[in-house]
Amino acid sequence: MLGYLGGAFLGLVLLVAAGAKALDPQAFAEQIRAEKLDFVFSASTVALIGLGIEVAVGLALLLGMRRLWVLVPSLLLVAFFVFLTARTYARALRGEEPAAASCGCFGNLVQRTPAQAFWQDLLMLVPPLALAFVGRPRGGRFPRGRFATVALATGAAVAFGAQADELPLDDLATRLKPGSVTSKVCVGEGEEQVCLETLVPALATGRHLVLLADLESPAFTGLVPDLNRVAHGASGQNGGEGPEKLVVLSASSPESKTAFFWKFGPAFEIREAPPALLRPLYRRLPRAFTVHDGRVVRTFSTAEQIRGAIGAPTSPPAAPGPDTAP
Amino acid sequence: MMHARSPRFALFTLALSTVLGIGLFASASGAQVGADAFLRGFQRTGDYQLTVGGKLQAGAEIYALPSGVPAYLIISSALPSPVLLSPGEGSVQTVQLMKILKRPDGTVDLMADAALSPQGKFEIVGEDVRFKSEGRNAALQPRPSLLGLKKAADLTAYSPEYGRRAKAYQPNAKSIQALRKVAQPVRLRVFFGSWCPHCKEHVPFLLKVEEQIKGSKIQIEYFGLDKGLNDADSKKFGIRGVPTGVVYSNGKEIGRLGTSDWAAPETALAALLAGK
Repeated sequence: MLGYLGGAFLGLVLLVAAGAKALDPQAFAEQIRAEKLDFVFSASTVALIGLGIEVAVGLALLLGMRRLWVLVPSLLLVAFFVFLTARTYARALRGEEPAAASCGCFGNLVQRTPAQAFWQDLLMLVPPLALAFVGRPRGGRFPRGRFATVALATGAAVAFGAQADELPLDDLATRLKPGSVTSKVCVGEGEEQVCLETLVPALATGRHLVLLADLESPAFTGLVPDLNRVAHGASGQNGGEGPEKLVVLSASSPESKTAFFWKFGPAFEIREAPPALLRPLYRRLPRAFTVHDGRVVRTFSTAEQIRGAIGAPTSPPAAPGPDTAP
Repeated sequence: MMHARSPRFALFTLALSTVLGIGLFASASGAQVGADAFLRGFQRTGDYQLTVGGKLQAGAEIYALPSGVPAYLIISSALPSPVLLSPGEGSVQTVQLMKILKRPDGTVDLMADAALSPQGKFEIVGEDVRFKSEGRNAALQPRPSLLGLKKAADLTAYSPEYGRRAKAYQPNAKSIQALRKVAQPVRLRVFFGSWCPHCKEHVPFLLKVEEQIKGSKIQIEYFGLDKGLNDADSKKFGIRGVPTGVVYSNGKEIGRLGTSDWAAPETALAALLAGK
C-alpha cells in the first residue's frame, strides 16, 4: 500500500506539472531553449516529447503500474529534473547568475529561487519515487487495459499540447483573469517583492488599460498608431474622452526600448516590468487587460481583441479554409 | 495716375512682394514647415548628453516633452541652431533661437510662428541617437551612471527630473511628524540606479522627505549602483533590486525599504522605526 501511495503521489505531481505545460507549451519550450536542450529537435518538439513522457509516467504511476518498465523511466525523469535544478542551484552558489534582463531595476527576480526550486523538486519527487519501489508487483499479467488507457491519454495530451496555443485558454493558463487583484499579482519575497501595483501604483483606483508587450514584435508595433490615438484621448490632448488610462508594461532590454521609442514615437507610457512577473501573465504577446479599482475586469489575448478593446478597426475575418474550425 | 504714386509706396510694394515671394517659395518647396501646436512645455531632461563631432558638450541644454507626442529640443553653442528631434517621424529639424520661449518655471515653448528647417533623419545605434545638423555630426547618448555615495544635490544636478518630482510630491504629514520625533540617530542609505526608471520615479519622494525632516536625527544618503547590479557594491550590501533603502542604527542594519515601500517612503520608514 505504501509503495502504491508513493507512486500515486509522484504520478499526481507529474500530472499536475504536465497539465501546466500542456496549457502553455510555449513557456515550456522557452525553458527548454534556456537549458539548451534543443540540440537534436526544436524546442517545441522537445516540449511535446517531454509532455508525453511526463503524462505517460505520471498516469501509469497513478494507475498503480509499478513495473520496472515504468519505474526506470520514472527514475530517469526524476533524476533529470533534479539534475537541472541542482545545476542551476550550483551556478547560483558560484555567483554565475545570468545578466539582469530588461532595465535591471529589479535585478534577477525569479518565481522560485534556485535553492527553492532544487529543494522543492528533491522533496516532492525523490521520497515518493523511493517509496514506489517498495513492494512493487513482480510478474503477473501484462496490464493491457491500463496500458491502453495510458497510451490513449498520452496521445490526447500531446495532441492537446500541439493545439493549445491556438485555443482560447489564456485566462486558464495564466495568472491573469477577470477578478485578479493587481496588488496580489506579485513575484519575489520580502523587500524584493514586486507586484503589478508596485509598477503602476495608479492601478489601485480608476479605470486602466494595461498592455503587456514585446516592443520588437510586429504584432505590437502595428498597434502603436491606435494606441497613440487612445493615449491622446486619455490625456485629453485631442479633446477625446478616453475612459481608461493606458500603460504598457514591457520586459524588453534598454536597447530595444530606445529603438522603439525613437522609431515609433509612442505617446503612451512604457514601464519596465521584471520578466519573472510578466511571464506568468501571458502565453503570447501582446496581451491586454482592463483594470477597475485594482481588479482585472477583462482580458484581451490577441492583437485583434486588443484592437477591438481600443476601438480600432479590426482586419476583416479570413475566409474560412479547409482547416478553419466552423 | 500710376506715375503720381510716391517712390516710398513703390519701395513698400517691392519689399512686400519680396517677403511674400520668399514665403511662397519656401512653402512651395517644402523647405520649411510650421511648428506644431503641441510643441509647448518642454522640460529639461537628464536622460541624455550631447556630443558634437565626438566631443561632449557639457553646457548643452536638452529638453523633452513630458507627455503626449514625444519630441526633443537641443540647444548648444556647438550647434549653429537649436535642433528638434521627433521620434516616430525620425526627423531632425533646426529652429531659430529667437522662436524659443523660455518660461520662468524652466519650461520651454516653441513659438507658434517658428519655422523648422529639415536636416534629414536621425539614426539609432545601440542606445545612441545620431544625427547631422547644418553639417555637424551630433549624437544624444545616455548619460553615464551616477556611482557611489551621493547627496541630494548631486541627484538633482544629475537629472532635473529628480527636482521636479520632489517638488510635486506631498509626503504624509503624520509620518513626517513621527520621523521628526525619532530620538536615536538613524542613517538611511538609499541604493539607486540613475539608469533605473523606477528610481527616477520614486527616489525624488525621499528628496522631499529629507527636506521636510531637516534637523531631525535621521540622516539620508544616496548610493548609486551600476547597471546589472552585478558590481562589488551591490554584492557587498546584498542589493538585488533598486531602489532599496537600508536603515542603520548604531552602525547596525535594522531594516530595509523594499520595492513596494516607495509609493510613500516616509510612511514605510516611520513604520519600520516604530517597529511595526
